[in-house]
Amino acid sequence: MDDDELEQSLDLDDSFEVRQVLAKSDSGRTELVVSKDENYGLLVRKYIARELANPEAWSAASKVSCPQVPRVFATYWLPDRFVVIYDYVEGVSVRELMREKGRLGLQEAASIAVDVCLAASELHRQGVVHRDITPGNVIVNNRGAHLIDLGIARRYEQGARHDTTHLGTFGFAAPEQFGFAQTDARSDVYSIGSLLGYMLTGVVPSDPGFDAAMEGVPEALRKVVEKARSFEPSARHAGATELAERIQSAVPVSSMLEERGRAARLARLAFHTTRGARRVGAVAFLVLGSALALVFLAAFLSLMRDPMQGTNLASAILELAIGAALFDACGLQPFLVMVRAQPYVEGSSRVKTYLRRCLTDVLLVIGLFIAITLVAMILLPSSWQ
Amino acid sequence: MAEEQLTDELLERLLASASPEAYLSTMEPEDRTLSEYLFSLLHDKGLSRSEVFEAAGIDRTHGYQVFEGTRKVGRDRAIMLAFGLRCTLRETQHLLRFAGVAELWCKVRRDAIIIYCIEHGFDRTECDDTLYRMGERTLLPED
Repeated sequence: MDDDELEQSLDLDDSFEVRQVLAKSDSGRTELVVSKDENYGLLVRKYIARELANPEAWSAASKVSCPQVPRVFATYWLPDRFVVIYDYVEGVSVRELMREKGRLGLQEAASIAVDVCLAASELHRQGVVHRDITPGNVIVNNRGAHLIDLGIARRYEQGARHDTTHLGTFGFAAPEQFGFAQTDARSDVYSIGSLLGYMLTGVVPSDPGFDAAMEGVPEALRKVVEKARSFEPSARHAGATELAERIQSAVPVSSMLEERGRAARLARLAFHTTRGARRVGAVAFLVLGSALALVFLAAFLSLMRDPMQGTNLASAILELAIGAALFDACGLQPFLVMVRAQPYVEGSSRVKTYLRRCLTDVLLVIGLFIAITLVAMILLPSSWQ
Repeated sequence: MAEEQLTDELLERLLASASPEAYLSTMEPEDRTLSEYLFSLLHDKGLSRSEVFEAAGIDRTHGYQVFEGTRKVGRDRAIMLAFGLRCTLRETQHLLRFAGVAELWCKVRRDAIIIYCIEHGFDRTECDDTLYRMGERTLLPED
């Protein structure tokens, strides 16, 4: 690991303050943290030992922008570990919910399962299989159910042979996860089906009484669970989306759609407001910028007409304009980059981004300056002796 | 880590106790490792590891491993870390003790110079300059 990379990683690592240690094991540590610099809210920092790290899965997951999947904030390497930082999802895990209630109603169970299907399908679209969809990894709050913890997620390409450490939770993990067959999206389908069955009956699928308990579930939904939990992957639903559709057709749809509709409308409203304010700001900046640019141009051209004028209004305006441009390139832009709440992309850092923008802006200004001077010299040769 | 009792005070208490058990039963177990002590210093002083390694003149990978407790540190390196962490003399002595190396002893010429530097707020480079000027071996090995 080269020194510069390590410096960036250390700075990033030190920029978080630990609020609570959530879990500690031989393979790593999970902490609840907050950023010391910015107000990003509660985050989870997960340290994973180098041998067990799955950076491809996490970087693929970071491309998912679905509310049911926590946003991956940053990933970085330390000499002996891989570190992931993602949003902390407040709420109750399905495991806790089941402990409280024993069993869930049809509506609630189906709604949670559909949310999990949505999350899983988004991950599958990025080529990631979760492989650990269990009651402990599903958090429920007033914004629906969320799928967390990509601890043993894998990309499709890698074979099952690579992951011998945590094979999955017995009862919820698909049979192929314990053998040598390739795991794919349908393995997650199996797990979601198991989860649904568990929520409906209160009995864990690995329990011999599970099948008997499932008899009490309405036929349509029971068939969906059975199909999802087929031993043979090809007998299951082809993907999480199909499973979601089957669940929705089995359970009275109106109440769930209503719930979704309301949430969606609220989300759109929030989006609109911010959009409006930002739009006004952007237009204001544009107008101001264009006005300044025009003034600069006019002053420049008048000066070109008679360069021997000496100091006058035109040259003063010119100097002001150049000063403003440099202030923007070296002052305003870097400030905006620093202040903007940009989530880190794997490997890059705020300093790199700022330098890159700063340099390109300065070069642009100088380039433009030279270009305009040349153009003016060509167009107004009479003023030059 | 607020009030660290002076070793002298504790020694007095020990000597005044009826038996070793009596003294030890009133003592708080000082079970910290070097790694924990380093992190607590870092946290209390609000420093970042990068700053510390830079100021100490220690290679970052080594420094990281020392903080994690996966690498042992030699005496000179430990003193350099103390400078990097802007430790007081007392903190430096504690650090050396945790690192399992000898504390600074003012009867040794080199140690005396280092103690002077720490007390007068010199940084690691200034201390090395002083050591060099006075003909002693510097903390950062001259390669």
